[in-house]
Amino acid sequence: MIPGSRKSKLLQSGYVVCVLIFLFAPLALSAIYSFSYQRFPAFPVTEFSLRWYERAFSDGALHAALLRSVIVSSIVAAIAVVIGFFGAYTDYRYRFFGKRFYIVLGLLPPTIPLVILGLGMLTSLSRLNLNGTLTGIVISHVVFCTPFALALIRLRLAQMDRCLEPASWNLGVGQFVTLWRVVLRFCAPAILAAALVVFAVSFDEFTIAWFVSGVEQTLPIRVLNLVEREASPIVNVIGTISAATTITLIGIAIFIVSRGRS
Amino acid sequence: MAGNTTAVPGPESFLANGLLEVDGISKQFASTKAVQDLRFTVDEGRFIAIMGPSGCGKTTTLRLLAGLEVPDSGELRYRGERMNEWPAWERPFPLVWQNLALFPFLSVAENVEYGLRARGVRGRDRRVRVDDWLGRMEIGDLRNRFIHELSGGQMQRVALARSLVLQPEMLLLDEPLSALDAHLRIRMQDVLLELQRDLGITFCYVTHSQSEAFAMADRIVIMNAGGIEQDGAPADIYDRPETPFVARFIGAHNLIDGIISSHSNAVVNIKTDLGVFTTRASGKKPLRPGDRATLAVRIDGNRLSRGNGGSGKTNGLVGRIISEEFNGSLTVYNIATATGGVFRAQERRDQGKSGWEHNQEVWIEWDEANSFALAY
Repeated sequence: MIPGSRKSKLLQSGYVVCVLIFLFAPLALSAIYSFSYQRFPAFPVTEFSLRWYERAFSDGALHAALLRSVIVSSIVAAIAVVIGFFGAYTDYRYRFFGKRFYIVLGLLPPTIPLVILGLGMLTSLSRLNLNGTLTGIVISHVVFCTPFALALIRLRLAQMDRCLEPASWNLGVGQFVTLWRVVLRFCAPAILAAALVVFAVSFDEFTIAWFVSGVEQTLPIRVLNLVEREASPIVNVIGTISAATTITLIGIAIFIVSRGRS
Repeated sequence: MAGNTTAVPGPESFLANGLLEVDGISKQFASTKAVQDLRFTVDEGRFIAIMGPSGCGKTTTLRLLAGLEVPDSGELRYRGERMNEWPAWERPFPLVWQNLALFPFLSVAENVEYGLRARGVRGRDRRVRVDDWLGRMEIGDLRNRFIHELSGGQMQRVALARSLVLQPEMLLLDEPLSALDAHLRIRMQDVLLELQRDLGITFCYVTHSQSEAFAMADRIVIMNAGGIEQDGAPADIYDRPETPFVARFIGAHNLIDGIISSHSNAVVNIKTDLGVFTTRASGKKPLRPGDRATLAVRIDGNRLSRGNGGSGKTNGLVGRIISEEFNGSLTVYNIATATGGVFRAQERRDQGKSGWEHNQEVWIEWDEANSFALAY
């Protein structure tokens, strides 16, 4: 395509719009249906109501699942960010044999098919008697999510002037305090963004959680149970709320990262 | 290796003044020798410039002093005390970085107080010292700004304030003016020079810029390929380069390579492609007949005359004017020699035959005293 020509521009924007519709139409529909009075969704919606929201909020099992998900995602975000930071810092600061391998290994988990990762987690965790526990879900999600944190923080560190750390040492500040006052401070936006992204990924993650969770169901697993029994419109409510949460978190993360870059 | 062109009163007082001694330091990175058997002393209260082309080891030298590199061999002494093992954060020499390395997430005032915090200076004392230096560097109005909101010159002042607020005995500077435009660079040179004189602290200044070194330093160490070529006062280095490298680097002399044909009673004859010239010996290495050497002729020590020099004088050669460079009251002529080299000759405009024409043939001659021979 010739860039700049009007026709090609039109084609390009049309293409982008199509992709966006393809991606977001199901989400938008689910959101619209969540406000519908009807049990079986039909378009156009004739009567709006909040009855499915009321139902969802008064469902005890759903509450428990939501709470579990929030707890798991928060702990996963905290752990993944710490591991991700030190992984990225090791990469930034030191040169050692097998460094490439170390980084590739660190970034690998999300590229493994989820079913295989989940199955692997299930077999290893059951040997440790951790399958079916929240700890088990946390461990699995940390493995899966840390690469996101590592990648984001590594990107930020790559922008750090290599002289900043030695400059701090030169002014009389030791290595550890420098790590805190200079490196962590510089990476703070990326660390916060990474925490939000990891939270969002863990919050929505279904496959691995399905393998390793027993009775301790997280929100996505709970949704599956709901759908299995009956096509409850409550699913639309949950979908809408969790999509809104994720989009908000990722939006904030993108904002923080892009601001830190300027 | 170490030059002692500066008058040294005696070993005791020499040591007493020596704030810092670099004693046979070597440092190798992978397969490249960054510095090799480096020896020099930094005297208290002096402005010393370490100068050389890129890759000569000058920045490594500074990093060794700051403790950012550990020497492979040799000893660094601070007031007579070995400091090889002192970590960077325990060395009392703040460094002004080439790229300034200011903290982008801190305000101007926070940058300046950074080192004071580490030293446990608190409360009123810290505030007073920070204010004092913000004032001295004329950046008081900018105290709450962030670094990216400052101009190059302002950043420079913040970097200086951040180091000098620590009241160091010695300041290390790594090409601190290289990022500034020419106009600002000259102004900052004055600021630096004034600071160094007022505070009486030692400046150790690394640069590749001859003009900066000669404008500010009272001693210059010239490095090449990891070693010291010459160490002395600026005027000595300018007038009496000790090696062909220094002569070429400084550029105050014309250099003509040749072979020593005889050397007796301080009179040296050197045979070159442009003829045999009589001169005197100079430099660190002895000159023996048959040795390769270079004849150095001062750019400002020549006379130009019309014709091709039938006067029979030994020290002269024929050339053809190819270009001229005006420089105020001085003019430098670039003259092509018979071998295709370029000989530079400087004339005052009010003296001599001003206005030599392009392509005109001239006879260049010089007194023996304005030339010398250096062994390779």
